[in-house]
Amino acid sequence: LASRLAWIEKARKFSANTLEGAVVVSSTQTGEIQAMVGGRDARYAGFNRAIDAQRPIGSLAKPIVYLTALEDPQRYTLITPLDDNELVWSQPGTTDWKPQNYDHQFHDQVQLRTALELSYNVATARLGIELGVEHILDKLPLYGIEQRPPPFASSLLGAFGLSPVEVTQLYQTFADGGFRTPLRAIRAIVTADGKPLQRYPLNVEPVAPPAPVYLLTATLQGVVREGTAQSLINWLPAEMNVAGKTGTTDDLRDSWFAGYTGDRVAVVWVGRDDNTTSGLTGSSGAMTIWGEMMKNIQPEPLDPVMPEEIELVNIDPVSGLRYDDGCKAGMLLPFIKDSAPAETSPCRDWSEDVLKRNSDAKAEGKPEAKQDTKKRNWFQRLFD
Amino acid sequence: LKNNFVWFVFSAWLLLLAGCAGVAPPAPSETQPQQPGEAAIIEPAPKSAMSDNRAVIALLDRAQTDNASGQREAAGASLERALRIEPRNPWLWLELAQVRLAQGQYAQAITLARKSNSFSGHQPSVQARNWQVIGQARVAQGDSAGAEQAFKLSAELAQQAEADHGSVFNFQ
Repeated sequence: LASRLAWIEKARKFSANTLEGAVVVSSTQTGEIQAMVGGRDARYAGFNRAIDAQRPIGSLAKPIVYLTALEDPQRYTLITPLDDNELVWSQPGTTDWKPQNYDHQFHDQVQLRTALELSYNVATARLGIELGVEHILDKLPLYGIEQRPPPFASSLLGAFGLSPVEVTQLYQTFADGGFRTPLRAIRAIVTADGKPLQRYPLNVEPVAPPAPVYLLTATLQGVVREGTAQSLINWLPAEMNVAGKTGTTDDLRDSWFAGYTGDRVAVVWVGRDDNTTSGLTGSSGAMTIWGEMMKNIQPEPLDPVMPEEIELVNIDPVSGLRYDDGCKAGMLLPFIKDSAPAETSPCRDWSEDVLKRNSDAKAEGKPEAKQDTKKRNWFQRLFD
Repeated sequence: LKNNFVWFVFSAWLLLLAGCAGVAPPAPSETQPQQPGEAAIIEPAPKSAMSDNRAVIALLDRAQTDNASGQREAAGASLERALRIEPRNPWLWLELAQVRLAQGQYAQAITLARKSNSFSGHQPSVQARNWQVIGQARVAQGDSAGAEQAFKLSAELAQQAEADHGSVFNFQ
């Protein structure tokens, strides 16, 4: 952590030794905390940021909203269109709230998975309001979050503080298919001659049904594959199928990354103790530390077992309709049974068009990310 | 070496036993509600099918010995150690579910058996045993309708396991 923070400070010409950070690594299936770093000086015995620092979690809260939506498969699937047009939220006693996207643009209609992958605030806030802010906040205790944020729509975008350990608990539940295992650092207390006085046995609680959690994980893998965390590829190969989420708070005060592989859940926070701007987003700060650290501990690839209620359906990305079996061009997306579109769409020529476009882009030597934006703009035009 | 041979013969005998007896009770009929006594005794699976890691097998051995002699906490601790090595091994989660069942922690037993199922892929032999655990825990919780359902599923899966012998009991 310290070396990476020093590197960031140097690269960005910040004054030395001013950034702080915290790291928590735990085992996905057993909930054991395997590493915890409470600051640059890891041996400092005072303030442990991993436990004591309550910092706004920003977009790290979004998966809670999407998981709540996906638990209702008749209304929401990964391709349900969400409205990302300007939103004004009024509640008596508070000033009107107008959420903005990070890029200060609105994106009209976006698919649910895309809204999470690209971390759109407006679409997420509207989705959360549709589902009911209170209804979503009621779920927090299930995921081990004891405090209750104010019942404002802004809470859904993470305008409340959590410690890195609490965030790890939240993502552990996503990583383990909806089973919450309280994090533990101590297995047992033994006497001097090795007899156990007190054990802290493994405890597991099912808090979310496996099928929606599977869909959420698929989307968080999309965040890394083609969303806000795609530069993680600089540290971990695509075959790792890492699932993760970036988090950035107002004025770049907090930079977060939470993610998981097959065997580990890890959370990194970077910011400043005086709560001034860190100048870093989730992907430029915390994620680089996450990537560097995970590369060094050689994690297992993430390959969640597909629950029986899930089926893979070949989808036409434009119309959102089911493709005929013969079509090779579509996207294979997971759906909870009976929630995939029933209507089929014939194979289209446009797919060849996209392939051609992509190969053109490749021929011009455009980087991967550019290509993605290009494709997306083209999608958006079709939605207009 | 001799030990290994004895072990192999013992495992083979277990396999035969499992093959003949199955792990489940006769499927309960509609008119006769499932009684607590009708739950099947869960036959242990051959350890060679449960893991190919020696340390895990040693820990399993110790857990089963401890469990048999009523040392439930120690058995649980050994299983947790094994799970640290193979956290996604459904057999280990099943064993832990059985220990919790014996401890009278029924809700925990059900959750652990479900978790084992979530890692079991297409292994009806472990799923049949998990549903057996769930059924027995439900009986203890007084949920006889739920228990009957679990035993029925268990019986179906046990039949599949028998039909699918080769891949279920895998000697190397």
